[in-house]
Amino acid sequence: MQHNNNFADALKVESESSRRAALKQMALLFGLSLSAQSLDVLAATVKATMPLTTKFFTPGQLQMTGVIADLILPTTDTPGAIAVNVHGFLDNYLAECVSKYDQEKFLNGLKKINSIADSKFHKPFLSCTQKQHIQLLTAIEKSDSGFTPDDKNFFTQFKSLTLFGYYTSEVGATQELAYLAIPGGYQGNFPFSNIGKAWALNW
Amino acid sequence: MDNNFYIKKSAKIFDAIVVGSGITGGWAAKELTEKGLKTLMVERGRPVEHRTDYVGEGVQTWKLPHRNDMNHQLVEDQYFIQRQCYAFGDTSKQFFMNDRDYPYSTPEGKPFSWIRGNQLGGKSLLWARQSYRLSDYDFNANLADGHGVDWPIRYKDLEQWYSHVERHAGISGSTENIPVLPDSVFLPPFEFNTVELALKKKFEAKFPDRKMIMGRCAHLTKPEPHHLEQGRGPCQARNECHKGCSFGANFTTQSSTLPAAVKTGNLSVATNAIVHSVIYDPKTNRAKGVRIIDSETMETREYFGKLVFLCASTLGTTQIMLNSISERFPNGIANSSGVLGHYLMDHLYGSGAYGRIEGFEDDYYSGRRPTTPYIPNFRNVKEKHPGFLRGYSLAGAAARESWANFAYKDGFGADFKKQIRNAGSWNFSLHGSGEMLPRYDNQVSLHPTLKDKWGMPQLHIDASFTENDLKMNEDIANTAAEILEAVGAKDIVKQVVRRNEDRPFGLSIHEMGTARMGRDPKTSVLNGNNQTHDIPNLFVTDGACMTSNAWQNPSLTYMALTVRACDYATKQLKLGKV
Repeated sequence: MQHNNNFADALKVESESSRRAALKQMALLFGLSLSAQSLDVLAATVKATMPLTTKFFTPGQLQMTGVIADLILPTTDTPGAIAVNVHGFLDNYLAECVSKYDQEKFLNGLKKINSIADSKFHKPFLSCTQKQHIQLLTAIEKSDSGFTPDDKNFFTQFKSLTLFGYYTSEVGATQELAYLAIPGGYQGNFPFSNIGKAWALNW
Repeated sequence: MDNNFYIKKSAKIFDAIVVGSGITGGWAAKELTEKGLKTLMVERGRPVEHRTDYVGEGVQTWKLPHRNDMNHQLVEDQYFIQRQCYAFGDTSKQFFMNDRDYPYSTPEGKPFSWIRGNQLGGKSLLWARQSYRLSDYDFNANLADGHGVDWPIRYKDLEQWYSHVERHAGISGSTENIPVLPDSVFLPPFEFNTVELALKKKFEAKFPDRKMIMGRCAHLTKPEPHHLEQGRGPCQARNECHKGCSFGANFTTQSSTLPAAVKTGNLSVATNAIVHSVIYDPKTNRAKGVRIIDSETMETREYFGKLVFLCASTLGTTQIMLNSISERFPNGIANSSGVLGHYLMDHLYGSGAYGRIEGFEDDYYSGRRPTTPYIPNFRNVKEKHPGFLRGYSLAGAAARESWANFAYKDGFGADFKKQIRNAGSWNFSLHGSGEMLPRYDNQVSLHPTLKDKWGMPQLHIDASFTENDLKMNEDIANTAAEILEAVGAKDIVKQVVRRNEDRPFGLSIHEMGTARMGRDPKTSVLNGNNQTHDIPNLFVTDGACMTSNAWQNPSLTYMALTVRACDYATKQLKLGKV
């Protein structure tokens, strides 16, 4: 996969000044079309958190994980999964916090998606169009087109980790959702419209 | 705190030694020092200073390396039991015992989860703070159905002592006049949310013999002047109490009893001191003090006192007593009855039901309430249930689904993200806390050969559920589902614990009963004053003392029993009778 080296380079960016350019480059690599405004959203929020090296994924797996995570939680009026580095979080999390068995299950899940992409579209996942990506994720969620209920379970796990990575990030918790560290007491009669967003910390 | 507060070596004869610094150890230290007794508190773990040592408090998830999850290998090696506790995480792990260093054994097929604290403050830093009085239904329970021995006390014996601890600790709740659940001295209750209020109304209309009340808990909803004087403030509804609360809003040793004891000038504390055994003097038939192992240096030392209070947690106390061997007590100190270690009980948790509540899209709540609505026991109160003995409470809340629930729903993309932002539908759950019968066969003993790294014989814990427990679990789930249906919930899911493996014994962290109170020295370890029948100056006031299990969360009762025993022991000491 020819993207790999460029992608790895994109991850090595540290300096404040080149962040915006790197984001643009990364967006291109991920096949995202970003408006100038959403680039501003990204540049304003993404600190220098890109991993310099990976701990668990190969660069290709990292990229694939990022693309899928961003399909689940894309950039809208707030940054999406890639912009908050959910893929980097997952690289570290899967290296550190899960069993060997679960690590393998995760990688096998990615492999399965690639193999269905190959049989359906005759190319690896990362070379597919966004429309094809959506078809693949829709199929895995329905356990059809060659995907099994086990594959669906993998996707549920993937979503669970993506949501965990995103909504426990600063952007996910404080921009996408409402974050109240010290509520000062419990109010049981509180209209949703008062805040207009779900609490990041619910209970 | 001055230099004389934390001690290592001391040849002094204290008026009292208190082993343990958790909920009961803290109360014993407070009461005894306030009565003028020079008291030494002995704690196995390290010191924990209020506020300073709450290192996980308020840390934002994104600043944690694994967002409050932990390194897999670290957990596998050192916290393989503690990890099962709902309160365990990266921000609270420092308040849990290291499983690698403190091993115990269980028989094949009978898992037991022993959740432990290992620091000054013990599990008072971790407890769920639910606080309920027992009633005479509970004190009469053993006598009524013949399981276990009769409690040597009744509600009237404990009533004033409940009030005593409630005033100081601060218990929030509502006055309800429910016969099975006497009212406490209350601070205002937490609020119901809009959905809960609607369900409460429907529930009480359909089941006139039952009530849904707000869970009573040891939180300062509205602190009184004497709480403020203790340096405690109002609850902020963060519901992160197990990380430590710098507001001192929940009851812990550090927030409440320790400061009171320190203020007297009569308290000394020995930390990192693992009590090996109680020293027994056969000439006087008195406990002389305790032998300890310094956990840091492996040195052994002795501390001496005129009274010895064991408040080291149910199984901690039992382990120390079983390991205190003498010619007079070859099977453990004050164990002439032979029942020490037997009659282990825990509460039946894990069974219940949950469902979806339609509508209420513009209703929400602000803050994270540290308690939930609560339905006191209604089983075997007026009518006898054909399937099982004793009763249970149900607890649960209505809440909107959060982001974490959405992984299990289909969908992805911008719309999916929007649904999460808009908060999910309302769910309502009810789960039981059921009473167990005291059974001789549920037993802890010292392992004949295995020891921990400090040379303490390991505990062997042999406990399992019975037919009565499993039938109660079925009824809890069916009844919870029936209630959910009656109040209009949809997509109801039942959860039933059917085997030890579904939810290990011990995981409710209400282990109790292994040095029970009773009227007869031949069938119980303690009398009605928590004094051992065999040795007048040796007292046990933690969960080990419980004669029956009841269905209420037990800590408030342990507190009341402790202060009552302290009052009795001090009077006896002054009369020269112990």
